[in-house]
Amino acid sequence: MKVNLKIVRSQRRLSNLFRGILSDNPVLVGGMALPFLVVPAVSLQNGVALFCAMLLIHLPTVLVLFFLRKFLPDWSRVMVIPVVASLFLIVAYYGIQPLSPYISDSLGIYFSLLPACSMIFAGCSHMLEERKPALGKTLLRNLCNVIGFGLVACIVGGIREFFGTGTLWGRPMGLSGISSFQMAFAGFLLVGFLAVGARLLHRLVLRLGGGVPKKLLKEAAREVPKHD
Amino acid sequence: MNLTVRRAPHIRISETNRTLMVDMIISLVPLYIMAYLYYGIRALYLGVWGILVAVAADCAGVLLRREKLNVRDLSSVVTGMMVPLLLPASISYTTVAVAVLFGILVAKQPFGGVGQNIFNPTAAGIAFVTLSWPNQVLRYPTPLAELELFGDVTAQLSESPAYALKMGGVPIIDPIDMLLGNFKGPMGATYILVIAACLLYLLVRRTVRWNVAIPFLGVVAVMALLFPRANLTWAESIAYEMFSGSLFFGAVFLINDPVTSPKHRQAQILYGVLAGVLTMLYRYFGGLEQGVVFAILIVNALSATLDKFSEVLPDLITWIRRKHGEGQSQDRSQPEKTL
Amino acid sequence: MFSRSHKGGVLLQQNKEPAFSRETKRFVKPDGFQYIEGRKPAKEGETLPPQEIIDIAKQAQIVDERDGVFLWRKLQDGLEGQKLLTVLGDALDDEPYVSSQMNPMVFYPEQAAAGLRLAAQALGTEKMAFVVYREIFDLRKPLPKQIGNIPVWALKGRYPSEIYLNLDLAAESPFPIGVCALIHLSRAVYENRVQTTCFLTVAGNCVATPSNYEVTVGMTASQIFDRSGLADDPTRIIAGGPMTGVCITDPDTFRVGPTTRALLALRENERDQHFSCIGCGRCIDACPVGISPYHLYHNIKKGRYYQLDRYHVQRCIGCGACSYVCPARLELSYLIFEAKKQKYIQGEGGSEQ
Repeated sequence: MKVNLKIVRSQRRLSNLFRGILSDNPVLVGGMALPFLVVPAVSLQNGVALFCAMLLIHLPTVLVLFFLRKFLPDWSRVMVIPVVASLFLIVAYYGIQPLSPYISDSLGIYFSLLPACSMIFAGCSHMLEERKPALGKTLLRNLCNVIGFGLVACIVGGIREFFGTGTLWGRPMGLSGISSFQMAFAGFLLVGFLAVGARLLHRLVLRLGGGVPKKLLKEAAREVPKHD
Repeated sequence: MNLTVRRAPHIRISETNRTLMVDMIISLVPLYIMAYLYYGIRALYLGVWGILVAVAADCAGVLLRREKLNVRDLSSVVTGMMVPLLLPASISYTTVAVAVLFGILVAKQPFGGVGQNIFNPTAAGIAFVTLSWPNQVLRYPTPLAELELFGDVTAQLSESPAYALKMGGVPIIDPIDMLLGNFKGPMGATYILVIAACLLYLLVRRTVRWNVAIPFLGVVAVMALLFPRANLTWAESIAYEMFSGSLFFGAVFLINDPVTSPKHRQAQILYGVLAGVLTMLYRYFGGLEQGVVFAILIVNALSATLDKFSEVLPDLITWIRRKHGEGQSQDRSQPEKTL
Repeated sequence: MFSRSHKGGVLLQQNKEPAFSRETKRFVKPDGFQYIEGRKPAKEGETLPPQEIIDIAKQAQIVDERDGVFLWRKLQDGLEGQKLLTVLGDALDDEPYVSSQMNPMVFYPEQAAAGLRLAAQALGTEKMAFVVYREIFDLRKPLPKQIGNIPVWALKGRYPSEIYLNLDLAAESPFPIGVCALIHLSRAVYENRVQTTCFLTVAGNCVATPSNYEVTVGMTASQIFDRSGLADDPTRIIAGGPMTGVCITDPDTFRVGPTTRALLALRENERDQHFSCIGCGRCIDACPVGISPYHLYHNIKKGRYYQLDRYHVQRCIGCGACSYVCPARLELSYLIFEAKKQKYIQGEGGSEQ
């Protein structure tokens, strides 16, 4: 079947923006931000807190750097990105307080380490390396990355809380906990199995439509130029 | 004439993977007999249950990976037999199943099944249940006590001599009892004489080689001699360190696992020494008295690196010799003429 | 402590009887003899100049059965080299069943000794010996200690013994020539005969009367089996030794050559077993040249051919010891030797063009 590649490419370009959620998940595929899932994500609450904090740190950092990009020499990136991110850490601290008053204590040192996360650095430097970054696309892509991270954080936190202490969001679920689920190695194992699951899901999606809607494929096949 | 074509060599040694595994099984059976004598029929039931779960999990894993099922391969049976032997006889059937499932579905099959796993499935399963239910796993019934076949065990459970040693106390075991296994401990790991006979059998059959087990035991003995944990004479210290708990069982059955140990002789010796040092460090500074499975898991992760190291080493030595101008005399590593 | 030992190899059950003790049988076509034209046969005790011996070997078209190289070419190379060589009459039948060098050496001692003397003469050296493999325990009569005043050295060690030829006798600078080629050389010099025959062992559990034959080059395998008789229907016919030989599918069209050392007819009922490598490391212990078949196999299976140099694939001699000991019955030796060929032998051929 001959396919008009222009249509497919434009479609791919669109779907590339949403890759961060599943097919190019920063945690499961990229292997970034692992320590935050392995150690502090021991409960669903912590997972949600990590999600919110990441949202409040990552997106504003990208936004600020988008406007600062012309004044930044390449060598200064390593310093500027964590510094800007640390500024928004203060915002994030107050942002996650409504979840629970003890939330930043239960995240521990890993909360303060969030600005040094590889995900933020990668997202910003990707934007800085583009020739003409578009604000909307950059924000959308990074939002999807954060959503991908948050999804994994919530799933890992939920599973570890459910099996580790027998509760979910602090409510008892009628199960006695297995203490090893609260340990770091269980986080590693869970992330590993989730990576397998994500791969499987991605493959299923590809098999169902190849990421391109069937209607569009038909349309594209019809629009093959005559001289071809 | 129906002639088949095969690659050379056309004669093969009579041993196969299967005979190696059968050797392991043969050496595990006496431990089950001893467990039966000390703890009754529950020990055998636990063993059979472990085997059933292991084989089912292994088959499920192989089918999930869409590979051909090989029923004749007995490696999962060995895993299923070893796991209950490292647990107390009072352990619940669920815990055995969880340990076996963890070992096979997490430590073995995701890496690619038989021969591909980095971590020893038995050690991984035991480590997981030890961390998950330490109160259940590390409290043992007295030998010759009556144990119910199914359901919760009502017999009194208490800590093993290894725990007393961990707490800085002095365990009191009669030497004869120690050799025969008449003290509290894992279901199959206390019969020192029987396990020593198994080691001898496996060494004579060349199913395992001395390169790993003997350095491991040697290092443990030396460290026990130099740094006794309690107020003990040197002989007592060595005997208690080596024979209380699951160390001796681990030295014979876990650390010799061909899949997870290094392949070169030098690397194997280094591996055994490292495992011994780590086990003793776990005993000195760890939180639980169960140290050997964790130590084995850690050195398992190092075995490929040790192999690479020993692969590079001869080249390094020849290079250094050349550098110092004495390389020509004894350089036998490259026969010039290949025939 | 850390230097890698080369005492690898495997100890094989040799199964050389009864073929070894039986007299070499002649199975030669009536028109099979050819003679060198325009030359008188030399007399006993006559001293010939080296170049003439080499010329005779060239006219007689003698092929060394060890490696399939023309004898005159080997002698020429040895003569041009400056070293003082030890000429070795190679009767190292270290593969099971095969005795096609030892047997002619024992039953034609005069010819073998004369051939060895001629070869030594051609190379301008006095040092010579026969070498045999020592680790054969099932022989009915012991191997001789001397053949025509030439000592017989028994080489100890495991299969493959060729390695020990190069390692243990390195100080003597060995120059091995197959015993069959030496017998043919003495026949060429003293009887004017061209090499038209070759020695081979016919054995295996299907052969009715296992023995050594001297057959005309170019006979088919089925002709030879007709002569020796088959007691059973074989499932596998091997040309060459059981460790390095190749299977043949059609005995009617397979013709024996000077390097065919044996024809084995075996019957086995062995099933294919799909075992996977369990990493026991026995292949590493068995490897006589000290490389690691385990790592090579895994790199080949994963397609990482660039890694093979790191594990010294070029040292592989294709002896088959690793495959022999493998409990998973993997085709280690075949895969590694093929990879070596692809990487080195074919690669060099490509660069020449």
